Amino acid sequence: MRNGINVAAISEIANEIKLFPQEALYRYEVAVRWDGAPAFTGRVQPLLAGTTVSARPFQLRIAPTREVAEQARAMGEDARTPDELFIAGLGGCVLITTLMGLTTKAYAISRLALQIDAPMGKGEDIAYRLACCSAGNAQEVAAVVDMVQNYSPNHRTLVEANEVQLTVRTVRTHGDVLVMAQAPKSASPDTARNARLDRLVMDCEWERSVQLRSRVVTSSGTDLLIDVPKSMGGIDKAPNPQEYLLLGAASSVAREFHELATDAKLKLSGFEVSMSGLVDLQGIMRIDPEVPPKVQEMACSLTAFGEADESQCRALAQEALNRSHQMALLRQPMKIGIEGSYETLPLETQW
Amino acid sequence: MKLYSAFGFETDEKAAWLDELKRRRIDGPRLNSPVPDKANQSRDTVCVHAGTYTDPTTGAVGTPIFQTTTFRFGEQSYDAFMEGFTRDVPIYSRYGNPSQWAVQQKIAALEGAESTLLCASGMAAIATTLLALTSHDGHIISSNDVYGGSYNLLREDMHQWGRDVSFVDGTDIDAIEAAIKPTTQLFFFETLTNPLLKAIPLREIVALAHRRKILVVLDNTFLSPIFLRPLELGADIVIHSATKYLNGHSDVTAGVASGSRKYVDRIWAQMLKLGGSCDPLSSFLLERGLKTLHLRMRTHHANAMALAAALSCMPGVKTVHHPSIEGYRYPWVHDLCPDGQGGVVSFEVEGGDAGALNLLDKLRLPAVATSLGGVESLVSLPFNTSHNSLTQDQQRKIGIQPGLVRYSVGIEDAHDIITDIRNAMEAIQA
Repeated sequence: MRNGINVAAISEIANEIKLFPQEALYRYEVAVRWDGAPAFTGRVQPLLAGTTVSARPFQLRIAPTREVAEQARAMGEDARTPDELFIAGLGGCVLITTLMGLTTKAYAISRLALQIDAPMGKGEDIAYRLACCSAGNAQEVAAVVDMVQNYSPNHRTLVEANEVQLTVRTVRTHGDVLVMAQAPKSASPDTARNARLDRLVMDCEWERSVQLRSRVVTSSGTDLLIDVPKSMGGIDKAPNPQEYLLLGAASSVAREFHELATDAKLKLSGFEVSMSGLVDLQGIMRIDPEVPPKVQEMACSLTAFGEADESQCRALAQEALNRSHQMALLRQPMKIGIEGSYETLPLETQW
Repeated sequence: MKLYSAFGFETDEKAAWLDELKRRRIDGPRLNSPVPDKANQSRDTVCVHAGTYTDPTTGAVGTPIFQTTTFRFGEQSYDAFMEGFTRDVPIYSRYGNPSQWAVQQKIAALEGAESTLLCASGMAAIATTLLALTSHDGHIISSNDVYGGSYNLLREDMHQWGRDVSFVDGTDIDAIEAAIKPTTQLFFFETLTNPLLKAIPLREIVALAHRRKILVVLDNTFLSPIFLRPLELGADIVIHSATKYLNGHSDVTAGVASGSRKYVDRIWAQMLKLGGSCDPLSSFLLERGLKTLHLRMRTHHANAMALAAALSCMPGVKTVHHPSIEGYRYPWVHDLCPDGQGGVVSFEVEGGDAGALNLLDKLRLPAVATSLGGVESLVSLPFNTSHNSLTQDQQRKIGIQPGLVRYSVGIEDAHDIITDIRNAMEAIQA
């Protein structure tokens, strides 16, 4: 296998999709739930991969802020922030697409890593720094990276404008209404939010086959693992990049809604934000030029449990969506710059 | 890399992106064996000829036994490793051996499948398939009266591998649908159950599965591809304990999984890691046994029909379980399997389990032994063998009543079979 990837199997998938386009449709869904704890619970929902269901056994704690995440880690609990999940999804997708591109061209890879520098709301562009040591020379690798910028689904999603449909519903429940934790008030409402939008720098590194590790530089947290579904050649060890991207977006909306609902003193016993999106492999694989590679049909839904008024929930959910930084990244086109450092393996070590 | 059109490659040209990768899935793996002319050849001819490998050097009519664990490497082998088509090239016998390929081709032709995988046993085929085609947290729906080995795997081990299993009445489509969850990935049922010969509503199950994007894996051991080909009706994978009818001579333990190349390749990849591959000698014997499958199944079926008819009016017999008996509760089996329903007859005798034990003591023709599907008749009592791990209440719940006898009818003379059991029944009533 080249780079731990079964190229024959990838080829078979590509050629299957040419005959059976319905096998190209991958519908991802995630859900982020608040049930009274300081952190949210994020779950990856079953995936509809072509014409079969794939169970996705991934659940994680999501902290609304880096401070809460660090506090959780200090108590031995692994918690991630919306920013971290979102950027891991972005970086993971770019890296996996690069890996596939280089492997398709039969370049053996020794090292592949990506650093993403995300200013998070400061009006600057996102920047990638890609490091690659492979059998390809610098121009050859750069050509692949150009292709990646055209065909990485999450990258394409961020550099294009997208619509996100929002639906809201309330479910009347009887029982205790949970006390929503008050966020610390600061002099300016925007200051608290902007404090969460500190620059985020993440390193994403290829581990083996299609598995990656991602970590926030200067964080005490453990690595985030990234994988792809079994049907795409992965081992189901971790969520895939689209799932991370959606988790980041959904938890960002959850974070904003929590704050708004707290200020409005909504009577809730819990709420759940779910997000879904469709990726058509025909686009990523360039099989049909009419099919966009990006994540399509993105939809966000919020379900509020308790005694809150539905129209009030709807208004707050819309405001949460509008305030969410990750949603802004999805809805408006971003500029993303890339720097590359491409080293060529010595000839005698090439296969 | 050389052009490997035999392995699905259309061109050697380097691909610039994924759309330019050219390898397609192909049927197989395969040798230079005759491919059945499906339009013009009957299944009888396929049984004899499909998959049989003619050695070009000697002209041997039968497939040689490739009793080897490993094969010399060549450029093709290295390309197979690098590009990922190791299933199609002889490398190492756990990966694949020409003796396996010959019989796999034969079974694939009989089933109408793109690919077949031979495993060390029926249980190896079942376990490997279920693990390969589900994920951690995946949900499987199965029947509460599948074969005991399958039941134990599903009940005792699947949760340890992160799979969730629900057991339902496999003949009740509403119960099956009610059990579906968002994480349901796979249905696993037996087309004809052991030992009460209940038939699942196969067409409805496949239709339900397709609507809900669920894979259908069926154990068709009791019927063989002679009487039922589930893939033609929309199932995704069909499994056999080849130990039974496919081999037919009670001298090989093996299992097979057949289906699309896409899914069987996944099962193969799982088998590489679990290790349940079949040795060359057993592969040879299985291929040989399959050559007479069509003849044996017809005789098994005819003898079973005759025995069921005789038992239905034999003093001392309370109930007969066979699709030919009036009152059989699953009449759709005749639509699914118009040519025959296998060679097993189950019946209840008076005197409960003690009476049944007494009967076994008096029978002279069948061997009192577990297993089924061989040329020789075999008889056993489910309560103390295949369903021994269930309590009495659990046995009753799935319909196993006191005095139940399972008779695997061989291909002996029907008159001899019936005379023997009549004599035995008279002896126990005397």
